[in-house]
Amino acid sequence: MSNIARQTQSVILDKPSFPTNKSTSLDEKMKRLRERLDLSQYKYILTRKVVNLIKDLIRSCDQDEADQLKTIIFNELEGNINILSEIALDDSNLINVRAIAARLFFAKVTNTPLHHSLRGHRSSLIRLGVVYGLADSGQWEEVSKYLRDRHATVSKRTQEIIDDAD
Amino acid sequence: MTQISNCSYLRFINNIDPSVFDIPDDGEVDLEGRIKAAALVFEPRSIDQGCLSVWKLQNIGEFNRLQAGFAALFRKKLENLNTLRIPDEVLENAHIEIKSSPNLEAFSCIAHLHYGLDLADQKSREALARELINWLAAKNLTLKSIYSRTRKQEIKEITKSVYLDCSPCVSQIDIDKAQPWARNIVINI
Repeated sequence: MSNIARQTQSVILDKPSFPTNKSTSLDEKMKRLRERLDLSQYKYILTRKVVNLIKDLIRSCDQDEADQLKTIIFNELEGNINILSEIALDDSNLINVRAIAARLFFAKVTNTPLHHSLRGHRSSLIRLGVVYGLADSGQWEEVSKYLRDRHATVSKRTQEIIDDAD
Repeated sequence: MTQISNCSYLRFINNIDPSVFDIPDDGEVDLEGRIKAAALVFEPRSIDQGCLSVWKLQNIGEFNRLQAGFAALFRKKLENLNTLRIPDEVLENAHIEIKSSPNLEAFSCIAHLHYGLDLADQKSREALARELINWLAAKNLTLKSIYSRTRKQEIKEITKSVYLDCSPCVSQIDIDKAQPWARNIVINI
């Protein structure tokens, strides 16, 4: 073994198997970064999956199938229900997908800051989705506020939803 | 739905409200966005093997019969019945193939009126959505003239009235094909 090779082997063998303070801190940072990446990747995959399920829901005209799809969506989103509001607010999604996401979100959640961005959304179709979601979760006082919505279809449909519930 | 003289095809669209056709003038999206959203509604599910299920409407008098017959196919009563009426000439202009596909699960008086639209690819779905929008603009019509909503309570009334209309002239209505909820409505008349 040459001197250089012996020195190299010595360096490798002498390298402590336990991390130094500096490397611990670096390892932890790396670990946290990896976790964050995993989390955002997980969230991305989950979001795409939910968007596809909402598309299936839109394409379905069978009540049984629609109910099953809604159950699957809510099960998939356990603990991540805000993803629905993010889908509703993301203008890269189709407008009907966004409106249904808004409905499903309001059907499950009663009060988060994301509510405000959706409640008065400039899209009338998304606001109509909000009305349906509020009705699904029995928030009738909130539903009645849309009787005076600036879009005629939203206010008319709100009245119908209230009448149907009576 | 306004009277449209030519033959058309009914598509019973999504069971969850709201539909893109409820507010077609939503300022949030441009024309291309609307076309893409409408194209999604025309996308057949995987079990449909590329064909979108539609029902031929030869005259407006048959509209209620088709609605009642379609609703009676489902085990669970539908929340609503949203219907889009696609004129024959729109399908022709969009070069959409119409395939006869009798639905043997439906009442025999309407089974032969079931068809499939070949909409397997996104290009044809967007062509149909675009053609439909152009057709409405050319005729100076709004979407309301080809889109209708029937609410849950109305489905019951339609089922009753269709049965009463049919029963004197049809010697034997194959009511056994109806799901229990629809059969109960008819039995309790």
